[in-house]
Amino acid sequence: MKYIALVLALVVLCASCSTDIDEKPQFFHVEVEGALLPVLVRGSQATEKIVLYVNGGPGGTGLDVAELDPGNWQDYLEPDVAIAYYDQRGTGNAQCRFTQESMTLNQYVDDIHAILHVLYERYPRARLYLMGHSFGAMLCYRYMNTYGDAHLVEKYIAASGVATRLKDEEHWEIRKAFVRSVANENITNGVDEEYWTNALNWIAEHEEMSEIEERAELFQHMQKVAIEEAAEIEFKDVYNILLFSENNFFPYYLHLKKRQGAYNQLVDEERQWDIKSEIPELKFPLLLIGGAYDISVPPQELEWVYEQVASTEKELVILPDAGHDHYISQPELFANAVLTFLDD
Amino acid sequence: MKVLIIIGIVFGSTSLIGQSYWQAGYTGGNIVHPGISLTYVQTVHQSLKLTRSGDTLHRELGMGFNAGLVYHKNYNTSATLLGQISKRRVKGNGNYFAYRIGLGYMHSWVPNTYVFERGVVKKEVTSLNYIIAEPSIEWGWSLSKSPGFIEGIYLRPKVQFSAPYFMGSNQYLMLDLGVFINTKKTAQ
Repeated sequence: MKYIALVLALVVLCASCSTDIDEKPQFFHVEVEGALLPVLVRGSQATEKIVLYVNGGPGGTGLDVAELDPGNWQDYLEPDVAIAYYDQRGTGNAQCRFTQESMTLNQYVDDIHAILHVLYERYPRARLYLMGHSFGAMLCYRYMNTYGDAHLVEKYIAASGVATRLKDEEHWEIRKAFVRSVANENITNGVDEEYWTNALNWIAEHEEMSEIEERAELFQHMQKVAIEEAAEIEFKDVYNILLFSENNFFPYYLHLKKRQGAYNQLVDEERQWDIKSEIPELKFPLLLIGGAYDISVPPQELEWVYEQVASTEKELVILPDAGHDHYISQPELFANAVLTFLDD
Repeated sequence: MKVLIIIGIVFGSTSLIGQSYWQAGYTGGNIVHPGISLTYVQTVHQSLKLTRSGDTLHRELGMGFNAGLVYHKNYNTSATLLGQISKRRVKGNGNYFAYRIGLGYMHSWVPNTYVFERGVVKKEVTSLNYIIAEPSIEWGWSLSKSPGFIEGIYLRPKVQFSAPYFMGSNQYLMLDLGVFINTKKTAQ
């Protein structure tokens, strides 16, 4: 009896060990076009659902998002899916001797494609999803149009991705509609009635929005409803990154100034990008998530994208009391929207 | 090749007579990425000064080499070899402050790498070569007035520049902590 109990105990122990290994974060590098991109896969790999997260910025670091976890994804998302975080070319702990010329939007999209290929190779049974926030969402749009037909990705999640440029007429129409909406909402609720009535009158008098001063004033009205969403970074978070992080902390931060040229190059290309013309070509399952008070990408912009895309499976979720970083201010609602979309 | 010649000159210089000492200890970026470091320094010039308080102060110019190995589970596991020049001010009690510059070579391995080329994925350990420069400062504390085999401990923060790298060089802040052993005594 004693031996049977011992064998059973060993079997249970081994079984628990193997589960543990499945769920252990996996770390590897992807070498593509001269760059070594670090990738961390964390969360429930046993579910065989992997979301590749494309960080915003440009210049933000995915591995820092994983480490600091501002959206509490470890509690809200990772029990149900695995998330693959990575540092984009030229940021964070992406390393090697690639050239500044390779810092282009197309190369960023090629990098995503390479990582997805590697995820497919490592997890052949997993379903892959692509989720981007802000600049990352814009890259998701381009990825869908460039490599969507390869069918590596089953569904796309674009959180607060800009879809119009400053020179697009729609850009200003959308922002005027946003100010009208928040003005009416505030007047109805009796909040700053005089200010918002004046704002409505000002918009009625300025139809064109062609002057810089007009655009600046419109932006001031938008800023009135901006929501503070900075992640709470505690001393222990900084301490953990500095001393105990798996990532090499210093390379990224010591490079900020030196990398300015490459950063500017990327931002310039982003500003020139006629993204509006690519939106109607988006044809794969797409979830658009935004914040009700996102002054960078107002909900009206996402509504416009929703109307324009060719996707037959599409959803639009606007999170209340949230701004551009809604995954930080409304982590539970954000996670629910993502998981519901992936489960459908 | 130029770098190898410079390293050779520095190594050759260490045959000069005078005080010499070894240092052995821990080196690493962050705390969780440990390594070992071995340094040899040969004094090539020294001067003695009497301070106002009556203490003696040795000023030494040293040359030598440093060999190191740093392990990082996920990123770069690296082996380094550098020639070094150092200046050291040793107090009468044996405590010292030094600053040094090293120049050499680093070979780095990045484990668990997937290479994506023309739609094909291959798994391999990526191997990288760098020229490195390491400026550092150092504090040493003598353990006693009549030291045994281990004469004292040292603390050496350093910055490691490695090149070629994206947009120039890469930098790491590192910390060495260890013991030093004198092999030849200074003539008092």
